[in-house]
Amino acid sequence: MNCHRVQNLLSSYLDQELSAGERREIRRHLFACAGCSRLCDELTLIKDSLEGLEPPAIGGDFLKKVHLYRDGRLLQETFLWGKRLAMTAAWILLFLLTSFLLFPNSSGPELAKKEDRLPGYDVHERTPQQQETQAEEGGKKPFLPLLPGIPVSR
Amino acid sequence: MLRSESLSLTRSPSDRWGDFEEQVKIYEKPLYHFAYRLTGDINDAQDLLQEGFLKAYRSYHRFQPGTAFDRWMFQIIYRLFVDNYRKKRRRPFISSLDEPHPHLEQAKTTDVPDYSNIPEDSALRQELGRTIQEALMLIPENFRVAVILCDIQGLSYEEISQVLGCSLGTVRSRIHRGRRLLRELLKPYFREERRRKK
Repeated sequence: MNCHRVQNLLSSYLDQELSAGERREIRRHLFACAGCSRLCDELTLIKDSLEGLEPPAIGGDFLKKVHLYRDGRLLQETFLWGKRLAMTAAWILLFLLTSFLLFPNSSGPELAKKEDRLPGYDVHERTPQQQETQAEEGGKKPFLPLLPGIPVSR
Repeated sequence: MLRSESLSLTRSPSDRWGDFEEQVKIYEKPLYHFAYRLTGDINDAQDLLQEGFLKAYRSYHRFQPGTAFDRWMFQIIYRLFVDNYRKKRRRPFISSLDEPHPHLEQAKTTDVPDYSNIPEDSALRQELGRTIQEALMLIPENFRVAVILCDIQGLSYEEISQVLGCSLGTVRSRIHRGRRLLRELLKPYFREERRRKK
């Protein structure tokens, strides 16, 4: 291994990210080369300094925004369900009102009154005058329209 | 250091919220550290982490049980950071000379720890931390994030490639180049340190 290759692999060597064979070769080179050995020491110092950095003291609530979002979302969800319920109720009321306005005499109450209705209102029930007319017309044959293709029996 | 938790998919929203809070409590410290090293500012780090947690909470139903929460969060925070970074680059901050700088105003109100009674060793560590942070802010952000994830968070190259969504070779190269840039930037500091010790 030459110096250029070793210097490129030094960081990986320090992080133990190389194979055993590569590590052995680099170690051998470092024993022999003063320049690469110095670079290795400096990189080790950098790595150790970074590892030894103290974390900053924790201050403040990191979940502040999450709490705000969560509360806002919960309120929004409650409001949304209330809105949906109100809309459904409004639609049902509108439907009922429209049906009452469009069909004021629906069949329901009429059927209930069928038994005690007046005789003149029945389509099948006939007045005496109508019965007389029917008796006069009794001998006559009913009018049959002549339609093409339909034979008329006499 | 890294833990992977299994979560049940058949949980009610309140249970899920409980799970989320629990995960946040476990990992808030390393995540805050990551955000701080990435941004270099306490207020920015807090904002970034709050945004990250909000984004994570909104897509928590997509979080796969059995995977590590912290790595998922690293990914979210890094993407948010990159987005903010790009936005900031597009719209540079313009302030009036008469008005106080908002960051400085905020810095006044935050609790600054008192180092007056701590030993010299700790003060030196603080100084080193500040110097390294300054150097970190000078290197490109894709090198910075790779170095932070590797050296500060202790992730393996494969884990870093998953978080950043790039190949192992790219991760290796970014870490190496990042460290070499840091070495160049920190050379005078370490030289002075060595001289002081002698």
